[in-house]
Amino acid sequence: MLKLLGSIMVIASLSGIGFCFAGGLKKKLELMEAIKTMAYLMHGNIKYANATLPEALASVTAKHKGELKGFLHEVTGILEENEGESFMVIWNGAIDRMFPENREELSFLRRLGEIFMYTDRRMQLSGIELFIEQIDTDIAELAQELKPKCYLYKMMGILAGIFVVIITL
Amino acid sequence: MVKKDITNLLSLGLRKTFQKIEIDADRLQEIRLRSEKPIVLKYDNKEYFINSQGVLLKDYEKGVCVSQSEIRETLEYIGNYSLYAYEEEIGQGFLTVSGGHRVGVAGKVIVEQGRKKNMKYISSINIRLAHEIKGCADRVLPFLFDRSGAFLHTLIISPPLGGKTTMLRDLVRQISNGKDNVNGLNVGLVDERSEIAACYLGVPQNDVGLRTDVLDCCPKAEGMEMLLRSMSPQVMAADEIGLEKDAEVLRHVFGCGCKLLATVHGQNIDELKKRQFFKDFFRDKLFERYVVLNKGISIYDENERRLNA
Repeated sequence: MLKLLGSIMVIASLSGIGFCFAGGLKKKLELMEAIKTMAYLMHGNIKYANATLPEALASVTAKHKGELKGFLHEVTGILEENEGESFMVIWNGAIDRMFPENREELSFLRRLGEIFMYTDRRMQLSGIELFIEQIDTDIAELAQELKPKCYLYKMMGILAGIFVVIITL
Repeated sequence: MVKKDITNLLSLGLRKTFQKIEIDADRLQEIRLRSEKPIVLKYDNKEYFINSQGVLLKDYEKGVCVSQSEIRETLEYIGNYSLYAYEEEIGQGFLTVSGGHRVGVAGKVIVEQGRKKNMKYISSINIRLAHEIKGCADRVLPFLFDRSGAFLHTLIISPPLGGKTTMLRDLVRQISNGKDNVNGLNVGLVDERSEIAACYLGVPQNDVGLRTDVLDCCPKAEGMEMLLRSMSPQVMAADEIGLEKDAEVLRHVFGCGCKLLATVHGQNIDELKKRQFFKDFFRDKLFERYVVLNKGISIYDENERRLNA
């Protein structure tokens, strides 16, 4: 009875790890899509309203419903307070605070922050356009890989659980 | 102490120095920052340097110098982290920040197809502080109405830093609100450089009166046309007229029953008369009042007779 209970727990926990990895991949895709949406909205605000970064970010914060809302709110608040920090320090600081786990996709967010530092409007807009193109390609690649990879992670988790149970019995 | 809206424009290092200064903020007129040179303040019409303790000095040798990185950082705050949004203004050499303060910049000009486009390597910043002085037009206002209580076409003349924008702002406020026996009038204000109303996100930060419609950051000629069509103002106010394209619109304003309240750079009436732009206006006596701000306030009628003692 005890052995059976232990086997179930091993299989469940290793399967859980597999499901967790698959979930992480979905989360990555969601965050990348949220960053792309934000880049689009910022582009529109800068191009058509000639908005400053605090204005544009405030407007995007109001419209954004995804995972980035808290981050955008944090950045906008600090920019409006103007306590004397450079934009990159504020931007990267907010990324570190709002996303404490080191996620690979955060590099997109950091890169977008660097583009916002351009002082020329045309350069700023073309930088955002190029960024959108690049992230679009990465999203498409990830979306293509998502289904087989998720399946693989889940199956590997379950099979690893079964394997451990077999060799320990 | 220097007001927070001013210190917030400066780099962190400069903020610390400015927070130590013990002065009457209302008498501070200018802050000049030049790369690798001492900070210069214009305070109460006199020039001063400051040391790291925030003490005003006459001697430049002990003055705090500004580094190029501090200039860059200051620009970042002045431009609200978004210098790209002020490209056109920087191309013209100045931008206006929240509070109506005017920031002049100098550096390397980028020219594209013979036209100045932008500026880079900015090495000098001049912050000219706007002061809202409510009541500064009290002595002038009674002379700007005729016996029936109608407002008269008025031109305010003053050299740079003579206070014409401050005077214009207070006149707009008082004309708009109404005073004593004079009813308030609808005022259309074309605030080309955001210096008068100091709009932030479209809302005036300075008090320009309850019947004032502000067209912010709009070129004067186009702005006056727009306001005439859209808001039917009784008084049209604009700062620093004098461009050729303004003349036609001004004539339109004179001819449509709307009264004009404007300012111009100049020492006195005689100097203006020599300028081609004003020749016709003087010949036709279109302006009915001249307010000259030069070592005191002098008010003249259309025949250039002085009205105040």
